[in-house]
Amino acid sequence: MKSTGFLFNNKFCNNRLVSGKFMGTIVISSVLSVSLAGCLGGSNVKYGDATAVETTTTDFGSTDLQQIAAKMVDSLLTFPPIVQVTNQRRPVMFVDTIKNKTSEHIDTESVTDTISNKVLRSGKFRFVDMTKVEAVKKQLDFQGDSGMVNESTAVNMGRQIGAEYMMYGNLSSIVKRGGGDKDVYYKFTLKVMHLESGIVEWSDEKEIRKTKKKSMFGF
Amino acid sequence: MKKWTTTGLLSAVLVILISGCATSGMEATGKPHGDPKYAKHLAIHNEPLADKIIISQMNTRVTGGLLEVSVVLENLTSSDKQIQYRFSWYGDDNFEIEQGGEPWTPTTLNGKATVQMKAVAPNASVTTYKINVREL
Repeated sequence: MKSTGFLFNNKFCNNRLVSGKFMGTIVISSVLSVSLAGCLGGSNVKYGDATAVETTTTDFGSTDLQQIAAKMVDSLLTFPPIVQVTNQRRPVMFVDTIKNKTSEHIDTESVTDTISNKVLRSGKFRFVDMTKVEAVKKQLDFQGDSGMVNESTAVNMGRQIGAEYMMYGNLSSIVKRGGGDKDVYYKFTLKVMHLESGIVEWSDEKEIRKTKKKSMFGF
Repeated sequence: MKKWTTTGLLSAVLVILISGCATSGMEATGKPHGDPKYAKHLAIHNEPLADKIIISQMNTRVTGGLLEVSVVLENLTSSDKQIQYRFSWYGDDNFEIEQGGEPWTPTTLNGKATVQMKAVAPNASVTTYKINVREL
């Protein structure tokens, strides 16, 4: 009994005129398919450097966040009046929201988290976390009122330290398009206010420009 | 003749496809050139860049207990270099402080030109530093 493959070979490969061109095309097509499959198919998961420069799109990205945080922290910690204030003590600060005035959805809390984390780890400031006020109140109420906690170990109410400084800011952008090209300009402004006097003790801004040119093939 | 043209075209397509998918070459840490006093603070992560970029000037000062560094990188070649750099910080015991805390920063180093980079140490325990440079 002859297999289908054998019949196929007999039918086509015995014809010299057809087989030369046909087999050549099959070989080239196979090589092409294999190389394409190698590129497109299969799993290609790998870990990358979280601090590497990322230029996938012109949208606000990890590199922008990291550049902003680095610039702001360096500027704050070396500003002479701030150096003077933090020389002998670690003032308490709280972080207000960063207004997102861009047209993108940006998690500005992530930006302030990175900044406050770096500032805290510098050992120059301490922070009170306003996002956890409700949770802290609930726990203090439980310790004081539930009758389940030994009074000698319960945390006393009204002993928290008030913040002396407030950090706040804005993130704005200007987007321009011309033909297939795109230009995005980001401006991040951050300020630190002395709460008692209302004086803005420090302010700085970081500008970022990202451009995208239409590729030669229009993709 | 026609057959050869077709084969040539297909080969070209193949080469483009394969080169498009290939990843960039392995990174090799090059030995930085220039003044040895400065060179010990420079780590070049791409072999071809090693003899092309040097530290031409370096200044440090302590501000509020934090080490502040200003480094001038010089491109010895006449072609522009798209590079990224990152500072890494070390304590007395040569342990890296806040490892991975600094981001890679992209910049263009124009031909025969210099560019100044500044950074502040993450905390007061930093005593020395390195500037890492690699191709963008």
